[in-house]
Amino acid sequence: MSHLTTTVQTQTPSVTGSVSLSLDQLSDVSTSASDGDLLTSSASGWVEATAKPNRAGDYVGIPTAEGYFPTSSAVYSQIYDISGFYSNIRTTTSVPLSVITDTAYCTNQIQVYAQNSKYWYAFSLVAGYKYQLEANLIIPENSSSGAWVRLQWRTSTGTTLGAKGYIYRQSERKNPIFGYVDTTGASGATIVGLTNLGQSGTCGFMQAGTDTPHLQISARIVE
Amino acid sequence: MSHNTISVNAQTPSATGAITQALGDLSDVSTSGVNDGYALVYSSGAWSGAPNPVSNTAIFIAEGASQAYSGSGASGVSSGDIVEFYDGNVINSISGATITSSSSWVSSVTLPVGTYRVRAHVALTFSASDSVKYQIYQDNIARGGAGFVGQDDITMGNYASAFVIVSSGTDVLDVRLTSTATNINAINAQGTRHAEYGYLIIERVA
Repeated sequence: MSHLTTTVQTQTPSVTGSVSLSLDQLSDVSTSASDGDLLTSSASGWVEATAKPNRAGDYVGIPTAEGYFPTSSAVYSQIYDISGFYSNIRTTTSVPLSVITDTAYCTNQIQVYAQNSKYWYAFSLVAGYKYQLEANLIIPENSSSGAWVRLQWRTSTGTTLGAKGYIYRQSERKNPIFGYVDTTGASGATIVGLTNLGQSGTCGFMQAGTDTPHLQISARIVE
Repeated sequence: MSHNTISVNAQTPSATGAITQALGDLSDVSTSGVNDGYALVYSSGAWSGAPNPVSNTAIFIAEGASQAYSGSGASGVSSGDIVEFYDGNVINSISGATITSSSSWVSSVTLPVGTYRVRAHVALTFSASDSVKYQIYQDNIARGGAGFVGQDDITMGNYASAFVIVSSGTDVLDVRLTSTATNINAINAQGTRHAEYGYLIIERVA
């Protein structure tokens, strides 16, 4: 006479009748998790997923007036833009250039003219994520009254990424400009920056220490 | 002679004696009604499937296209009228959220349980110097700070913002004018400024 042997998820009871199961031995769970992973639902059952960072990239201005323009001209013009991106966002390679930037996801693209003359012009975003982009910018206070530059987030290949927006002097108005880019299907890094769609009045080159701290640009992973 | 019937979490053995256990069979876990991307969340002594609380999802309605507001389904430009936003490729990565739109003009967003940061920018136009205010509404109740838009481009940018909590079921979110302006252009004379510069951005934060 034979007896059935009861098993639970292929685990047979011990001599005392107990069965020990771990999470990934359940029929609808498949995990090879790393520290910090979550258990999430998918079409193939419950699997581990990596919690993504909230913010990938961040640029902030510097409270200093030292340095030089990239040209002898004191007036910004689109002809000075780098790789087609608005390039009147002055920075430095010392703190606090990117207090939050996680280089695993995002790196700042900086044009260096001289040791103290460096300009941010784009983010390089790694593939596989969806990023929300936000720019809070002004033009220098020594620009003419009412001057503006009209900007829009775009990729280096010209794909538009959001609504257009105007930036003005700090004494006039400060508007956020938003963009959104999906890099989940990209094969390599995606370069995104702001494109100058037009300007009015005389716009100075960003230099003065009272202007640069008003600059803040971020890329945030939203999926 | 009687036999005990073995069961594990209410699952009885098959003819070969095997007992299958899925995650939802556990005594303190409920996986009913889960959608792809949901996470197992602990609450009041039990685990259940819920929208992933650490998934930084968002809805992005801001194409920047040159589209006349006359193509929208907006009923008017007076106080209380809903403002619509144009986007031919709305980004919606918030699980359980739905977009109400017609001809790519979005009139409202329905949000599931969660906490959201909302920012809206309206860029309607005027025939002469004037302005209107607008605000974010949750199930017909005004939320957060008001936005402001006037005739000149320089008067755009005072966006409306709000933190919105949906505590149960779903809530409908929209943006409404909260004042009336004599010189605001009628819908058929609004032009394309609002589609080019307006946006509605919803970020899930919890």
